[in-house]
Amino acid sequence: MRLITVILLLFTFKTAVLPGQDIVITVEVPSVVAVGEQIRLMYRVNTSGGELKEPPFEGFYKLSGPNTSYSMSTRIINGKITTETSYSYVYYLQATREGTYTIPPAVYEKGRKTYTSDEVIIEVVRDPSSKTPATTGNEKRGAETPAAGSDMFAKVLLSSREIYLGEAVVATVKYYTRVDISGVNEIKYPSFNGFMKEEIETPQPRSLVTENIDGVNYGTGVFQRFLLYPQRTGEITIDPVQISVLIRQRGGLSDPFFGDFFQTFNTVPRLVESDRTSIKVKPLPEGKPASFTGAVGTFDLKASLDKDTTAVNDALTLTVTISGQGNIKLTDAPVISFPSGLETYDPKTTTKVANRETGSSGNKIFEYLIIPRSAGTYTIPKIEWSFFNPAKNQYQTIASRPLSFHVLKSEGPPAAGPALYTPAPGEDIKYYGTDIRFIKSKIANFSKSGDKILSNRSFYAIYGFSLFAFITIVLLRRGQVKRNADRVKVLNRKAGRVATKRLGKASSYLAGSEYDAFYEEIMRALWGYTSDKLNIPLSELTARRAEEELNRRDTDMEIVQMLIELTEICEQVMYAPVSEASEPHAVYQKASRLIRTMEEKLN
Amino acid sequence: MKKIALLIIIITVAAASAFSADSNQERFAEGVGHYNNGEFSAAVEIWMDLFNSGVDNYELMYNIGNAWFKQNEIPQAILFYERAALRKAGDEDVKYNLQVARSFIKDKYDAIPEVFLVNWFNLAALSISSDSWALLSVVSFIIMLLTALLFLFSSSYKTKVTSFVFIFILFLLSAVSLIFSFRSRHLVYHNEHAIITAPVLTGRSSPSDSGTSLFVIHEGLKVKTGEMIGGWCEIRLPDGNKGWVQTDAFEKI
Repeated sequence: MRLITVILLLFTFKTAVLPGQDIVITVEVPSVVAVGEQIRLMYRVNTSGGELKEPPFEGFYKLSGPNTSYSMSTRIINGKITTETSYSYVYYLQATREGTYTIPPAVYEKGRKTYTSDEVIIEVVRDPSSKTPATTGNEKRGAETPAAGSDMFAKVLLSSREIYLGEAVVATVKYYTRVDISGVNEIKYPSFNGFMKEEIETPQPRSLVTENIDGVNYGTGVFQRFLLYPQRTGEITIDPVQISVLIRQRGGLSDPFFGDFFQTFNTVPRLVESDRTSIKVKPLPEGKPASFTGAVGTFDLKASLDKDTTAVNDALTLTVTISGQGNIKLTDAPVISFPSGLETYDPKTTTKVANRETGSSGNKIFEYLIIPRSAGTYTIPKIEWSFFNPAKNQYQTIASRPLSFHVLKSEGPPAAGPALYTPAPGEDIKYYGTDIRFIKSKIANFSKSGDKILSNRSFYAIYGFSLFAFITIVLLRRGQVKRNADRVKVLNRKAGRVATKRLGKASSYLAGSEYDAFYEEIMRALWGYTSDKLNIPLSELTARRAEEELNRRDTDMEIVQMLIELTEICEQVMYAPVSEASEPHAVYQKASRLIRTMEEKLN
Repeated sequence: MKKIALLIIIITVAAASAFSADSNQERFAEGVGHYNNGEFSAAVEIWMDLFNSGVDNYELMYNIGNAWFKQNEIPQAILFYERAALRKAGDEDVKYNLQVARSFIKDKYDAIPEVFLVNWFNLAALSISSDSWALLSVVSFIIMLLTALLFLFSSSYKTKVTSFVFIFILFLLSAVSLIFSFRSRHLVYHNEHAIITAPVLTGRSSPSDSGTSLFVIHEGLKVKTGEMIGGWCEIRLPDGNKGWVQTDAFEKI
């Protein structure tokens, strides 16, 4: 308000400066109108040559405008000439909804100066003559109040107010009229945010269908039908549809002579707007099967192969057809687990859908190209596919039968050339997942911890004991060796005495001329002495052995020779007839001398 | 009389142990059955009972590791796989599963490689059990003593030389296997390594909550434990960093 006061002050100021040139914009409009009523808004400017910028007519639909007109009047009163110029801009508006609306000031520009009109406040009231018509028929659910008076209204009729996500709903844009419609200017369909929209082919109405609503007959016509697939859950609001129609109105009175035949008609534009409507979209229930890909409706699935038998590297086609009613355009291909050894490609998809009032129906064909890379019999396991059936309120899974085909070995590379033939490379082992290896199912023997050998004292005792045994054995053996050595010494010591004794015995035999006994005794003395002295057992004693032993002891060759000579003499005398050459006395002398020398040398 | 009493005691003990071995075998099989049916927690319960009663088999530990793994208890699984690996160094399944379990550890690090000699030494020590090494040591020691007797009392030169060489070899064998036996026992029963069981763990610079935070590690990591003070223990990470953590945040292998 303050702003306006300021502007008004400015105007008065300007008036003061430029008398007779003040520019005033006046507004003419009814302050109270009814819904659907056509109103005339006029801006009048008392000058020309400027430009009016129209304000936004919020809450109103502009039927036409601006229509401009110009008038000038000149008056001469008492010789004083006054010229009045008037430029008017006329808009025809139609109120669409009840309420109080403010049309902001219009701005008039002339030269560099701008002028503004007053703000206009218009109250829109309900048409007192209109009644809320109760809808009839099977479209009761789309209950809307008529937007533009009782003689004409439009509706967006929904086939259902509560649907599942992905389920189709039919929206019908329909008008009801009791007046003549000569044509349709413009239809602004709602944007249907949150839906996927499919238009259903609707023939333009040739003639109106009469429908009785609340005792009043209306001519009805369907502008357009849509199939809507909700894309999100929750309450979705559908914007109103705005239809601008041209209505024929009778102009003037009827001719008294020619009746209605020459009746003139005015064509008047008029806006018809439906109410906002909303729909509740429910999410799909829990428990989706694994093969569910988002299809809602009723479907059937078929799978077939184009041939049963093929050759390696020769392609064949698997066709999977999903047919039925529902959001078939939005469905995805079923997941097929092809056996290994087949090369497969992404399917070629063909969709044939017809939109009807009952929903979309048609089929979607997936064609998989399969190239077997090795020979054998393959089986494509059954193809499972799930959809949600909103009528039965449950998920349904359909499956095809498993399909088998034979792949024959190809007969060498094709003669056509190597272009198509790719030698099958060695196939790698395919690994599908990682998991830990399986448990051990058996234990050979249960051992307990804590009784480890190392922790046991007796373990170390084994070392000690065996070492002790070792030392004992060594010591015992040493003692034995020592005792043996002692016996040798004794014999050694006694050897001389024994020999002397035997020599004495020999000399007594010599005195008694018993020569055989004499030589025997000499022999014994010599051998016994050598055996004891050299530590050679008598049984092992030979001349040769004695010689070795004496040589080892580093004795004179003389002693050795003497010993050998003497034993030879004795043996000769003992085992041969008496030899003249032998002198018993000399033998005795020699023997005693030999023993003496050995006694000296060997000690 | 005394001898007879002793004999009776020995027989009863042997019979009791044989009986318990039988029941152990049964309980083990029971666990295998649970595992096969996918009842991993029941299998773990039975096997852990056996484990706690002192059964010391790598198969049992490997199975416990598997059952923990199936219940998504990765640190416990790693712990038992590590235990099994110490008892049977060459088992491929244990190695493989340990590797799989380790791939679930959050911490990635650049481990300081151990000196290869130490590695070889440990591997050699673990190749057979501590008991087997001890037995080998004792047997080779006794054979060595017998060879020594041969050396001492033989008069043949050839025998003496050969037996001397054998004495030398057997002595070395006995000594080395005794060392291996000790090493193996140390590695298996007194291992300094531990597996972190706390989901997230902060290593501090001193054994108290007021110590500066040095690093954050996650469950399943294998660390080396050191000095213990109060409820705190110094640990060494695989990358060589050291810090103090609470003793209840890990379990020794």
